[in-house]
Amino acid sequence: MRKKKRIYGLLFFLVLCFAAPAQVPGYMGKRAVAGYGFYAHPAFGSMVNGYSKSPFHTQHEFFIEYAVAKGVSLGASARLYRFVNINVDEVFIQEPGVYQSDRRPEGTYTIKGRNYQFYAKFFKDSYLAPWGKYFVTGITINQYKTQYDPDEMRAAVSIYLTPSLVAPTYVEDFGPTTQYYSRPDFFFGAGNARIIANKIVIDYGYIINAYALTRGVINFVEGSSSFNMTNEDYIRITSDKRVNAVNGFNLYLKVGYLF
Amino acid sequence: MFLLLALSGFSQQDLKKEYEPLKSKGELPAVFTQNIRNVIREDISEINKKRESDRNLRSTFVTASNYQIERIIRSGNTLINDEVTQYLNKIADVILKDNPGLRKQLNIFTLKSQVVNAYSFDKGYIFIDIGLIAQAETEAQLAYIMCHEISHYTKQHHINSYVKNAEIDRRRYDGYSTEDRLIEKCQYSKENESEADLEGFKMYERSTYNLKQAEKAFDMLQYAHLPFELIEFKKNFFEGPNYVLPQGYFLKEVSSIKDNSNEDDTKLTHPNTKKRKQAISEMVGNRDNSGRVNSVLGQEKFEYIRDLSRLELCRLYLKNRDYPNALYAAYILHQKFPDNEYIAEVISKCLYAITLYNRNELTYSSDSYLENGFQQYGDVESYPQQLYHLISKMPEFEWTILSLNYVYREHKKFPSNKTLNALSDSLFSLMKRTKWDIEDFARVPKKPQEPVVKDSAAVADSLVKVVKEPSSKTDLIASMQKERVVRNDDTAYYKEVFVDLFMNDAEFKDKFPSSGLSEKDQHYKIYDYKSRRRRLDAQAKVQKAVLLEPFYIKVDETKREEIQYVTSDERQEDLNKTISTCAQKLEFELITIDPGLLTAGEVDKINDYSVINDWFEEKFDTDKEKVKILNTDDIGEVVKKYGTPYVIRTGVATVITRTGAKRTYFYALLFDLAKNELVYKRYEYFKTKDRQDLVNAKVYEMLHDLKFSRKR
Repeated sequence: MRKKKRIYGLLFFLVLCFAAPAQVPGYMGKRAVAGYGFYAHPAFGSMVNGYSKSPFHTQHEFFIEYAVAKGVSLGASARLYRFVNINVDEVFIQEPGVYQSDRRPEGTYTIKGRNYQFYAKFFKDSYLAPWGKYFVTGITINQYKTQYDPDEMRAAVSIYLTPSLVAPTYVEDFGPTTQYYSRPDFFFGAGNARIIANKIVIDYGYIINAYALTRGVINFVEGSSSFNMTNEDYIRITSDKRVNAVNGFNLYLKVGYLF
Repeated sequence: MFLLLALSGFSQQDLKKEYEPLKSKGELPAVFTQNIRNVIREDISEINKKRESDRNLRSTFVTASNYQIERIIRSGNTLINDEVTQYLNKIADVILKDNPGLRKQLNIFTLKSQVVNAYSFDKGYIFIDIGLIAQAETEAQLAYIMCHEISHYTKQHHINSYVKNAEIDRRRYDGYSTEDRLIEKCQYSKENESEADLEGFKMYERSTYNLKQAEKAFDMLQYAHLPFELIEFKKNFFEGPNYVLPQGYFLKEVSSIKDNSNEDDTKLTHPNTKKRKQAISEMVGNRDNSGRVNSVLGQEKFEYIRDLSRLELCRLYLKNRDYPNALYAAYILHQKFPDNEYIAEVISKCLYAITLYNRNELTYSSDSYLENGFQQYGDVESYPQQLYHLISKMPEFEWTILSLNYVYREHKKFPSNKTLNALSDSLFSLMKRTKWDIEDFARVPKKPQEPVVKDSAAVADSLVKVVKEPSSKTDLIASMQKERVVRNDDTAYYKEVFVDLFMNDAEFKDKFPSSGLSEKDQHYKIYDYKSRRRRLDAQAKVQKAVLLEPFYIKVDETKREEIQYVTSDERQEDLNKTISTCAQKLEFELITIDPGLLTAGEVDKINDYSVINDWFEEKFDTDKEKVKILNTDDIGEVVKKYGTPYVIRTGVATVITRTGAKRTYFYALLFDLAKNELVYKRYEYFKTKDRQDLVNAKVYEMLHDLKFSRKR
C-alpha cells in the first residue's frame, strides 16, 4: 500500500511537470535537475546533553526537479538518515514493590528515517528556474522506525522481596523491538543554485520543518521533567523528540546534473 | 581634369545639387582585424626591454591607450578611406615628404564630430574632427595643426603625461591638496602643448606652407566656438512677396564678439591662445615667407573638402539635435549652394524640430549638452544671435506658419524628395492641432494699395551694412562694425502668406486643414509611430534581429587603472559566443554587427553600424521615448538590407567597489527602427560578480523572451 502511494505521488509530480508550458526558458533550455543532496543538522545540544556522540546529524537525499515556469521549479526527493539514540532520559517504572536508583535505561536504540518530500522552488526576480536564489516550500512525510535490543536496552530496578531484602533486576520491555512512526510536516527554506559548465548544479541553502522545529523548541523550553515516561511510551516519546530535532533545521548542499 | 580626378580616386560630389553623407570606403585597416591582446603584449614587451623604473605604469598606460584607440576607430564615428581622410593623408605626405620613416608610422583619420579639435595617440594615430576642418581657413592651417599633433607623438607626450600625473598624485601623501595637484598637472600639460606648438612649427617650416598661417591657426581656434563663417542672418531669408516678418523679431544690433584670448589658463591644460600665438609669432619672426603657399594640393580641392566637412557638420548638428546651429550652418551653405537638395532638407528638418521645440514637444535628456534647451540669444555672439532671437521671440503658431511656408515650397522645388514631403505633411498636421480661425489666412489676394513712400533716411537706416570682401572669418571679426536695424511693429503679417498657394496649388489646397485643433494626429511619416502602447504579446514574435556589438566592461575601483581592459575584452568575446550559442539553441536568426569581428572587406558593415549608432544617439538625447528621429534617413536602407527592423543592444557591466562589494548589471534592449519604438527592455542588477552562469542565463532568457513572449 505504501509502495502504491509512492508511485502515485511520483506520477502526480511527473504530470505536473509535463503539464507546464513548453516555452519555459530554463537554463539555456535545460529544465530538469537530478542529483544527490547532503543535509546536516547541528547537534551540539544533543551532544552536550548526551543523546549523541556526534556534533552533526546528517541526511542523504536523492532528488529530481523540473522548471515548470520561468521562476518556479517543482521537486520531489527522498531523504534517508540513521542515528543512534543514547538513553539519557528517565523512565518511570510504575509497578508496586519496584525501586529505581537510576531512572535512565542502559544502552541505546537506533532510529532509521525516510522523508518523502514534494516541494516548489520560487526563484527571486531576475533569476530563473533552475538557476539562482530561491525560496522553497513544500510538504514532507517523515517516516522512521526504531529498533532496540532488549538484552542491551534495559532499565535497572530493585524489587523488595521483604521489607528489608532487595533484589536487583532489569526491566527490558520498552514495547515492540521495532516500532514504526509517520508524520506529515510542512517545510520552507531558501537557497541558491549555481551552474557550472552548463551541466552541474551546485545548490546550497537551509530548510526548516515547521512542526518539527516548533515541537523541538517547546520540548527544549519544557525540559525532560515534563515527560514522565513509562517504559511503554519511552521510545515513542524520546524518538519523537530526537526526530523533531534532526528535522527541525538543516543546512544542505546538493549536486545535480542539469538536462 | 576629370581624368586626373578619376585616376586619383577622387570622385567628387556635385555639391551644387546634392550631398551624400561621408562614408567609409575600401578596405578596413589592420586595427579592425588585429588581436589587440597580442598587440598589447608586444608593446609591453618593448617597454620591459628598456628596463625603466616606471615600467608598470607605462604598461598600464599602453594597455589603456590601445583599447582607447580601438574603441575610437571601431566606434563608427571614424571615417576610413573617404575623401576627407584621403585629403588629410595627402597633407601629411606633403609635410613629411622628407621623412618617410615617420610618415609610415602615422595613421590619420577623420572623426565625425562637430567639436573643433584634433587628437593624437602614442601609437601614431591622429584623429581630426570634422568641426576643425569646417573651421579651417586654409590648407596650411590644417597642415600646422597636423604638425602639432605629430609632435605630440614624436615627443611621447601622452605616456610621459600619464607617468608624470601618477607622480603628482603620489604627492597627496606629502600634503598636496587636490587643487595643487590639478594646477601642477595643468602646468605640465601646458608645457607639452607649448613644446608641440614649437616642434610642430619646426616640422611645418620644412614644408612650403605659408608661415603666417601657423599664427592664423590660433586665431581660427580662438573663435572656433562661433560658426565656421559669420554672415548676417537676413530677415528676408524666410520672407516672400506676401510674407514680411515683423521688425520686432529682429535685433537692431547684434552682440560683439568677446576676446578671451588672454584668459586665465592656470587650471587649463592648454596655454591661452594669446601666449601660443605670441610664441609662434616669435618663431616666425623675420623668416623669409616668400614663395610659400596657403595650399599645396590646390585651393579648389581645399574648398571642396571644407565644403564636404561643413555639410557633414550640418548632419552632425542634426544628430545632436542642435537645431539652431544646424540651421545657421545650413543657411551659410545655402548662400553658396542655393539649389542643394540636402541643404533644403537640413533647413526643413530644423524648422520642423524648432516648431516642436516651441510647442514643448521636443526635449533633451539630462546627459545632453542641450539639457537646458536652446542657448539663450543673449549668450550668443555676433550674427547667429539674430537667428536665436527670432526663434525665442516668435510665438509657436507663427513659427509653424513660417516652417510650413518654407518647407512646403521646398517640397515643390524638390517634388521627388520623400523627406520634404513627409515634413510638410507633418507640418500640416501640426496646423490642424493648433488653434486658429479660417479668417486668419487670406485665400485671395487683397486689392493693391498705394505704395508707401518711405523716408530715405529710414531706408538708409534700414539697410544692413555688409562688410565687403572679408577674406576669412577672422578678418571679418577684426574689421567688423555694428549694423543698425530699424524696428517696425506689425501684426497679422502672415495673413496672406499662403495666398499664391491657395490660388494656384491644388495639392496645398487639398492638404491645408479647413480648421485647427483636430483630434487626429499624424506626424513625420517616414518614422511612423503609434501614440498609444500596443499589447506586445499579441504581436508577431521576433524571429530575426540585428545585434549591435555587445558591451562588456569590468571595473575594479580598488586598482589604479580602474577599467580592466584586457579582462573586459576577453569577457566580451565570451559574451559574443554565448549569444551565438543561445541564438542557435533557440533557432533565433541573429545578424551581428560588431566592428571587432569584421574582416578587411566588410566596410559596408561599419557604415551600417555608424548609421544605427547615429540613430541611437539621436534617440537617447531625450528622456521622452517617442523622439522624432530627424537625422538618420539611411535607417530605412539598413532595415531593408538586413530584412529586419529589430536591433538588440545588450551588455554587462561589473564593478568591484572600493569596499570590495561586487555588483553586476545586465541590460538588454530591443528597438524597432522602422516604428521608432523600444519594444523590449530589461535592466537587472545582481549583488554578485559576473559569473558565467549568470551571463548565460540572462542572455538565453533575453532571446527566449524575444522569441516567445517579449514582455517589457
